[in-house]
Amino acid sequence: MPFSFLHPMLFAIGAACVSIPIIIHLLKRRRRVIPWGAMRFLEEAYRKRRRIITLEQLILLALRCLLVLLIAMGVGSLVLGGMGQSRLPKTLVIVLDDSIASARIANASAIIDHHIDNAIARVDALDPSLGDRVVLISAAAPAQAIVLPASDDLGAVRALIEQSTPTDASFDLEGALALIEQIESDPSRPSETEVFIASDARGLDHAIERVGTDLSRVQADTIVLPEPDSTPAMNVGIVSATPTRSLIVRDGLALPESVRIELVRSGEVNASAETRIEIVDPSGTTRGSGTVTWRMGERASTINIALDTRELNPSAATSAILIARLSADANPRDNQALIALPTRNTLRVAIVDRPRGASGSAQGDIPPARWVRAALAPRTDMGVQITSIDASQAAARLAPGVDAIFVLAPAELNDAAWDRIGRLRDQGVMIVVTPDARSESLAWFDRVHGLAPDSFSPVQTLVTHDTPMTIDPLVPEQSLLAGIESDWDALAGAVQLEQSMRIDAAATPIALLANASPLGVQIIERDGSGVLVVLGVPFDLAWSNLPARPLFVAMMQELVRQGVGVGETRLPVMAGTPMRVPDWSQSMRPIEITNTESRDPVRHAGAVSFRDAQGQPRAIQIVHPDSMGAIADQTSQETIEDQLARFIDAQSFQWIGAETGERSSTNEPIARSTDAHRFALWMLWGAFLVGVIEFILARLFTQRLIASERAMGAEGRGARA
Amino acid sequence: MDEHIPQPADPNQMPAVAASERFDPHLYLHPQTLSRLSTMELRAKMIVEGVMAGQHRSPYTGVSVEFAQHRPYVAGDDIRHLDWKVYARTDKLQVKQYQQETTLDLVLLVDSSGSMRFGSRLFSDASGSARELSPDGRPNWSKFDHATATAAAMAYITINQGDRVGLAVYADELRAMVERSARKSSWKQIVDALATHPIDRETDIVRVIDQTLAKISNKCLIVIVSDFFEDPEHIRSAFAKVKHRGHDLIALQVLDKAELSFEFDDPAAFEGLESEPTIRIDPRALRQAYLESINNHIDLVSHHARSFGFDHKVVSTHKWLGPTLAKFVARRNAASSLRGS
Repeated sequence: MPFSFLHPMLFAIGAACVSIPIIIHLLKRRRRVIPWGAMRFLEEAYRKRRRIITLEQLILLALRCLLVLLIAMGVGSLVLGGMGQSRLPKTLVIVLDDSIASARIANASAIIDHHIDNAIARVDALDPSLGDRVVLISAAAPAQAIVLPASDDLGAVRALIEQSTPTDASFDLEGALALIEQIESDPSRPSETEVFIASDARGLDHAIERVGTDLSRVQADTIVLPEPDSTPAMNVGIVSATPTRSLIVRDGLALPESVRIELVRSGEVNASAETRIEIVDPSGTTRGSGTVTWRMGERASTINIALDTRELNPSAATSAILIARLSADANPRDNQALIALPTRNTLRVAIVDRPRGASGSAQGDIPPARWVRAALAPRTDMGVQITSIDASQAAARLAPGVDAIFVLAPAELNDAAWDRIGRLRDQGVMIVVTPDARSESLAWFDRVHGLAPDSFSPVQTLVTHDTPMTIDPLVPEQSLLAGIESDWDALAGAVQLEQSMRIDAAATPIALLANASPLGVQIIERDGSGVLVVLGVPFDLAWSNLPARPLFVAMMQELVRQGVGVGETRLPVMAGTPMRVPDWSQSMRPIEITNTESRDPVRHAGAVSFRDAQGQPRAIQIVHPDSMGAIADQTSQETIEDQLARFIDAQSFQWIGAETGERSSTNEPIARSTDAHRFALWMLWGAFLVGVIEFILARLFTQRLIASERAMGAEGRGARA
Repeated sequence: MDEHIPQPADPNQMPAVAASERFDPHLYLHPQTLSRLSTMELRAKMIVEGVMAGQHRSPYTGVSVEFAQHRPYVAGDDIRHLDWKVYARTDKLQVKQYQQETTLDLVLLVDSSGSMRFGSRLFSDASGSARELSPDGRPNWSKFDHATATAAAMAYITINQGDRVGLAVYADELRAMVERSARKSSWKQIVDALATHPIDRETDIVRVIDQTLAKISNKCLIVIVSDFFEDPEHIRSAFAKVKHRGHDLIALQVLDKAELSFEFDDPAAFEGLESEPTIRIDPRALRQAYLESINNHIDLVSHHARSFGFDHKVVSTHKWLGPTLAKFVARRNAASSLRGS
């Protein structure tokens, strides 16, 4: 609305205009005095009609005041409305969409450029002399207040807007609304609040879906949005890129490696299409590639791409970083994702067991440590370096630098040794614990329970199987052994268990027995601590033939490689979401990869290394672009209005030209002027109608009397005179 | 209408008036008026018995000296009045009727209350003289001016006919009185008595009638020249007293054109001339109610007059005095002739 009564100048003018009829009325009252003889009849007439006359006069006076008021408003709107002086001070809240959706290309330029143009145009339309101010909110998750409290330094705000670039995070509408709520209003200084959501309606639609239901409603006078554009766009984004093996040991077995890539397609999906995927290393060498063929209407797809891991060197910490790239589409920012692959020249494994010949071990029996050594490093070129540690000396000999620790005689460890194991696990070392066939006691499990109290029941029991128990031929999902699933069925059938420890735990089983009880469980906390694996069988032929079967070799090799790699690798996070920092981390440093931005590691995709107290990089955090925030499906104005109305109490919605059209700044003064003219037209029409009504009523109140009197009195007067 | 209303002068502030001007009958009787009235005969509605025989005829037929007409004989008629000559010629019994000439005492009562000061007509337009102001300095021709002119005219005619004329000027009581006389010199006394001013008081017509009737014994024709802005019941009571004493009465209700039309357009303050409070009104809004009120009043006065057999006539200050009196006198003569038969 271009007109307000609260403007002091306008109010003064209006009041002065409205007082004109009253002043005229008062002046008329004092103008003439007529000496009159027939007062008797005048008084009688006055007594008869006093109330009616008063009412009629009040009606006419009110109509005349209203007439003058409407004319004053109409003319004032024409005169002042176009100059922008007929309104309250405005607080312009710009919610600038710099999310990943703003990187979409339309008509050869990024959408964010149009957002910036629109935002600057609205800032330019403000007038600081009228008390206009600006709040600037960057809407990419997590939404950030760039300018808050409101500022009247429009030039500075303009510069900040111009510096905006797209991020890889989604549109955080909820966060933006929460920031708008923080805008403090001064009760003594009335102002009009306009919220300009400079956003691509496609991204906004997706953002609205993410807003929680308990959000309090935001108050605003006007919501301004760019009209949704109808530019056809098809966008494919990488949702995740996960290597099937979490560790590469260069000097060991060359196990096949691949990357599982999930893709999402949006926008113009009613057509078949192809998306080329290429995985390269930082030097640009292609390590794998594949093509996804989209069918009509298909929105999601997954592809496994085999990797060439030869001569793959770590880029940071102990991991190699690869880059998955898609062929060009509407939005380039979700076409690239980083993949971290932990690499080792050798795996260093410590085996904690009883010393040979210790009590409990039968002469001629092969001790568990030997089975493990035989499975992991039958030769020196297997890439696994084994260190045997006497259980009684474990507290002293266990030191950082090992990748995995096998605790094969848990009952022999003292408290100091367990404490040492706990600390090493916290530093990312994999821990494998098995029962000890040479000891009937399970008291040691208290210490295992202490490592993961939320996952284990404190009491475990030993089970002697009446008939030999076999191993389930299927590998559970999420198991560290999933990489050997294809061979598991053939290998597991030869294993029989005479006795086992029944594991009562809320954890992922690495494998199951035929009775569905776990052969062992894995606990992966993903916060920088190592994987904890607890097996229900010792590597002892007294309980099972497992150590002597081929499954054991494959199982140990896969378990160690996956366990060490998973413990080091952190699950990728989406840009804009919180990043969990390991307790041991002393600093965090973005890893410079080709063409990756690291200005804001939270809102931009990339890789971050966590460094320990010695400043050594020990873990990598991959940040993926939030491809779901780049959904390019078109959305209607009505949908947007309906959705926004759930969170914002606004008097009106205003749509400005599409982001692909002309800058709305050129239209803004015209729109303002048009509003003023429309308002003035309504006011003048109202004045005309009031004038007609006043004319009719005035004639009705007066001429009616004269006419009737003429009919009645002319005859009488004529006769008498 | 022209809303310029000449303001009546305050009687207390009026300038002294030279005697020669005050007695100048031409200020009250326009030459045109007098020229018309001098050829007319004033005939009373009611034939009163008087000592003066002349042009006034008695309604008491029978033994008068002037034959009036024949009428058929009916049982009980005095046979002395049978016209035997007619019987001899027509073989029908006809009774001779005579009209008895009487004298006419005219008593003029002129209202000089405050409301009579009102007048919207210019003095120069109404008086017939070339003067812009009245002798006392007023620019307007008031109802009182019109009333005194009317009374003077009637007195002039009556004296010229040899009848007696008396005059009383009144408001809430009799203010001045001229005894009835048929002498030519009494004209000067009447004009002198009329050369007064309305006073700022209301009319008390009942009291005035009582005072007047106390001073006359024989039957008279009483002419009241007033605006009759008084309680209609008081007027009816006064008329009743006059009727009871056997007098005849003519009520000449002098009203200004502005009072009859009330054609004011702009809001104004109306100030009463008889100490009424001032009221500020929009005349257009009150016009209908006002006209209804004053017309009802006029109708009531007329009704009361006619209910006692008196005549009532509205006299507009904007109408020429002569035609009004001429029409009135003619109608009175006609009525007198009919009654006298």
